[in-house]
Amino acid sequence: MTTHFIDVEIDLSESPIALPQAIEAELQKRGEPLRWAVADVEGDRVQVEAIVTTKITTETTTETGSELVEA
Amino acid sequence: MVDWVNQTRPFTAALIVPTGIGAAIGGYAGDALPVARAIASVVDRLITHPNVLNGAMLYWPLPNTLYVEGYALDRLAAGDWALRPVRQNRIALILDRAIEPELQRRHLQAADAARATLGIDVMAAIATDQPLGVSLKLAPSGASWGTITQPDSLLRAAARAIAAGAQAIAVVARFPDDEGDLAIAYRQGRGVDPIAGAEAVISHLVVREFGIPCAHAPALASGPALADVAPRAAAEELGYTFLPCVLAGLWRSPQIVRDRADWQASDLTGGAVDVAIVPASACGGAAILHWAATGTDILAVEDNQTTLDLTPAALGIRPTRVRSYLEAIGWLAARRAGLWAGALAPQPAPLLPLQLQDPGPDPRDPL
Repeated sequence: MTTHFIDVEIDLSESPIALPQAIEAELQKRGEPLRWAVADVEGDRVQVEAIVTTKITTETTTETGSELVEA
Repeated sequence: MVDWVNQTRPFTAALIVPTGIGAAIGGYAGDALPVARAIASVVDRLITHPNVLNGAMLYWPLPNTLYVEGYALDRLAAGDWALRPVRQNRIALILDRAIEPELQRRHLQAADAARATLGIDVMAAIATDQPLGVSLKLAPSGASWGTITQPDSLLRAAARAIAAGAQAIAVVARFPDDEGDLAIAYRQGRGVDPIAGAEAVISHLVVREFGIPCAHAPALASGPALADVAPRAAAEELGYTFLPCVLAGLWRSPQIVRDRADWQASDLTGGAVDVAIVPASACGGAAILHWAATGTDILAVEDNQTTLDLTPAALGIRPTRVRSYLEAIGWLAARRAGLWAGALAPQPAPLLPLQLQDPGPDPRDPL
């Protein structure tokens, strides 16, 4: 597993009710969310700073070809 | 006379002071603990997190207060997890392999002291199989963040602890003995806590993976007594470790129930929180946004300034704004008593004149 600091922008036109779900859905595209918070709002765009984790993958070569193995 | 309403539906507040954003109150060495003590005295239940209650060698037992790690708070607010109060937890202590022998001995002694002098069940001490590799950074917003290079080593140690029967986990990781500008400013009561972000990552990793109470204390070398330590930072200058407050907090930290099928009527869910209290410029965290989305009252405290500059209105949140925690405490007391706050103002506004409206269709009419 590795941790990554990322920042993403979310459209604030989502209703306040849907905003946290929209943020988490966007972060899920980058990894497993661990910690996030809105850092700034500019117009209709919300800037989110977050930490996500991803699993480490290694490529191994076998007689039948390469395969990805999750560590 | 029995207060039937507050007995059957305890008035519950969540106090949040995000770590690592330089909060004027709560951004240092457990300096929001007096706020927690005051709020706990006017509510039936208080939920708060380690950054508020941890004062290194200092802590204060609050019988109606739940010590809940930040990731678990986020999931509670999202409606995903519930909390189950317990009488006590068996705590495992995980020590970073990078801690040098003498400092490790200090932490084991702190654990022994907690066992013998406080009666806290620290059941085991486990070293990680690799140095955790703490690194510290600053985000573009100015908030502290950091990470560890060996998260899997931490999680393996936690898995071993849980297999051995641990119900809560205290982690001690070796942090850099940084004497840079940020650390100096922090001791002088200015700026952000440079280690806060990495600390949050460490405990969040364990809580997210295992759904178990967890908190972190940094291992740092002790130095000479300094002349310019601000009162808010002084609690972290008192001893060899920051571990005592973590053990005191985890002692009775509620268990986490992740599977909704296992929830019991006596468990505490996010919907049971009546009000969440937060610095006014820091309403963008996951827990506050989730609670705001479900209509929970948000109490925004204006004089607890942070490095952030984010108005609640910009996020579509309509909080109740108070100038100070003192004013917040008054608001909470009135709310618990079921009072209209306007009655406490010198000139409560009168009702608007009665307005007639067209009769319109009778809603009872089936046609």
